[in-house]
Amino acid sequence: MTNSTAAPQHGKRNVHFGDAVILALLLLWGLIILYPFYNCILVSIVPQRVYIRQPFMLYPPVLDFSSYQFIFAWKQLFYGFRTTLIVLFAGVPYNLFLTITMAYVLSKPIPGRKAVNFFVMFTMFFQGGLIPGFLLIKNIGLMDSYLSMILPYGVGIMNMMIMRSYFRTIPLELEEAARLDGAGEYSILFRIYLPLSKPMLATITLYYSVDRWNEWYNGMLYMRTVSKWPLQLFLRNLLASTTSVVNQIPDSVRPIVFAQGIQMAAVVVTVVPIAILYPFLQKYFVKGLTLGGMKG
Amino acid sequence: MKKAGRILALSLDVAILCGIFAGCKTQVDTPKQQQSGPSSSEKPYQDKITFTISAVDSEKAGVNADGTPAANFQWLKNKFNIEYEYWPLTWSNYVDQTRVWLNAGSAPDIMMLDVSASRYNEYLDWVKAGLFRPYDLDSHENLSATLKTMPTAEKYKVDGKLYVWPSVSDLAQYDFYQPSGYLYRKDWAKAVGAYKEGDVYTWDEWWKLVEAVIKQNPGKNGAGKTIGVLTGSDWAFPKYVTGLISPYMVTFQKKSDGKWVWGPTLPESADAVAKAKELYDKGLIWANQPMAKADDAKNNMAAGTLFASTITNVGVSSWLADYAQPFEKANTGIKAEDAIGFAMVKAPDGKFVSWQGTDHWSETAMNKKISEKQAARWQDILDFLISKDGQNFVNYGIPGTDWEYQDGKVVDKWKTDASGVKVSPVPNASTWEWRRPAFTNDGFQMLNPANPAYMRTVVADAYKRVGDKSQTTQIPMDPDFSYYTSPTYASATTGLEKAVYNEIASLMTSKDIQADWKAWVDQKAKEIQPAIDDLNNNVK
Repeated sequence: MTNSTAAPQHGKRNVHFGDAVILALLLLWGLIILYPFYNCILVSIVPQRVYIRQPFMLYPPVLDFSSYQFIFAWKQLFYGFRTTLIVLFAGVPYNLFLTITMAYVLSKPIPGRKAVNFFVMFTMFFQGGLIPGFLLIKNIGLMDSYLSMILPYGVGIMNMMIMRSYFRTIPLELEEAARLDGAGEYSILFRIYLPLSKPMLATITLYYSVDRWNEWYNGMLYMRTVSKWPLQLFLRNLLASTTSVVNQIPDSVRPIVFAQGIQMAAVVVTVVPIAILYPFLQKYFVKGLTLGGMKG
Repeated sequence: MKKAGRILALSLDVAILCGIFAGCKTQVDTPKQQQSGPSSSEKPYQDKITFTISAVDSEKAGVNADGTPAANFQWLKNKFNIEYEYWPLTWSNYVDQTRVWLNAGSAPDIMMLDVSASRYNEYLDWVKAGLFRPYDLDSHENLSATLKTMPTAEKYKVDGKLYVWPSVSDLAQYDFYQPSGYLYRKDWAKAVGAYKEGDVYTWDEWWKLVEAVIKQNPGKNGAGKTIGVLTGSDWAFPKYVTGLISPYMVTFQKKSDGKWVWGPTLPESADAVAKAKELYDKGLIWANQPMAKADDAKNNMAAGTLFASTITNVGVSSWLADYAQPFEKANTGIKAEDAIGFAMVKAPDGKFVSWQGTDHWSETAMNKKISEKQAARWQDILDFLISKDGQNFVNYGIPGTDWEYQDGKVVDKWKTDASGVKVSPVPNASTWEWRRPAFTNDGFQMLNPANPAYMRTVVADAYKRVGDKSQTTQIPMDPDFSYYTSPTYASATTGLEKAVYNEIASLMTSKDIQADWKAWVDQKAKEIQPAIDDLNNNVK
């Protein structure tokens, strides 16, 4: 006799037809989203004649890395990496420090909090303008300085609001207990709040990192030395005029590359570093997205 | 999952490192130039002057392809005792950058500008705000003489003073008329027995040739896989068909009575559209032409799937770099000279059609704040560059070292590479250090010894044909019209040219093209009537 109340075997579950349909649709959707990037990689590693006859591929019939040779032989690329890494490693801690401290303070019932919140929110909708910003940077002597790309972007208001909302969910009892033990504000923030905020920190770190990685506009406005341009500005210039970049080389030594190959190689080179960062933060990312949305 | 993520990250790291090592290969050495100072100077310059100067591609300024200092740039700096401090511009944002600098009162000494017709009012505003220093033409005879050859120069004068130097095109001998045609597979034309020696075709001969190539498939691309005609520029379709029948197809024409009319309302425009559809329906024009991207023509030519690519202003550099070289790389064993030619096609009336191009490209302004000495030095530089010796310096290199006069003619002293092709000692940079400020050397493409001789000859012949009124219907550029703008005119005509082309492209699938075209033109003409009235009132 069988035991009809026996629990299902471990690892097995019933898959309904509806589940299968949903799974199939989601797989298809995932492939549709992933394929353009996959094709981008393929275009960057095939010769022009292959791309022409078959712009959409499943696999590269012939391999040709001349587009990558061109990109990596282009020394401005390394200047761009250098600048962007400087901005990233200096800018993200700067952003995090300002965001965390502002969020912490604004999560407390301090006098004038509403007024401060209003002024903070105001900057989301209205800014000083391009010319005043330029004049400010120029007048304080930051032209052609890496600081002109780091300092102006201090706090992402949305990130700060998410952080503030999350801080409000941390039980006050923890803070009270810490105060009873003699902890000050810094100790409470760095020893209690931040350790409990890892998902949120990972999330906003990723957001700021992507913003810093993609930064190009301030570089275009304020950098007078080409070797200090950020990576995205170099690549934007490259994509805008591949012919111009190729034509810097005299006809006799110019490598014969095709524009789409160079452009796709440039895209891959730009995206890969951020794609490398993501797996390390992934486990916090989803959790952080939802936690920040909780009512504080 | 964490482990899989780390493995993926490490794999990508290794891939990038491999790419870096793959990219670290030695380039072919370019011929080293001898350092050479100026031979003599009629105007010795005692004080060294540094100019801040905005320019695109400034990272390439003054260096050869291998990064070594360019001797000719050093020669120019020595001659005038100058130094440049670059403010880099980007191709995609140079207008915005310059605008911010000017509006913030923080512009460089010398500025590269793009005062095209669409920004003409902005230029006038800047002049009125006193941001630019006027050029002193009276004391610079070469600049003064050159300005007289430029039809658009008067547009840049305000109260009789010139505030920007337009970088004049060296095609004045052809009156700036641009030769258009097709880069085509002449080997296929020979294979189907319809090739014309000299590559000049009548309208009927050309389209019969295209039809024969598609039918007989000498390229062996498989049935239906050979593209007849394609243009990679979205604004060039359907101009290369309709423009030959109705040259004012997308613009306004001033009739003999002085009245302006809109091109699509002309009777010949309806004929032109019908002809374009006829060719499209026959499959002579690529089916996907309305959605073609910029590189489709070049790529398909290299892949051997395209018979002819339209060229609206043939140039040796683009012929060589965009078509000939990629073709030879993709089709080893076939010489581009034997396979690709430049065909000029006459309109149905038996004449070529050519539109007059602008006589300059980009402009250079002096900041109002520069000193008298700086202004004088800069104008001396321009005056030299525009002179005969200066143009030879720009085109051929250092006098005495890279070229010399023999019996009054310029003879180059360039080295040749392993395959016997001459190598120019002039770095191929697009910056303001010596070339662009004074003139654009578009005409030099037909003289440049480094360019294939057959291309130079063909392009020169093409320019001669369109410069000859007996062979060509010339459509002149009207500076007053080109630079005219007003709120009414701008409001009615923004995007109008594109709208005409888009409409024609969409009508390729129309079932009654004459009726559909008329309906669209009638409706659109009502919308732009204010622009026509504005022109008739203000542009005589």
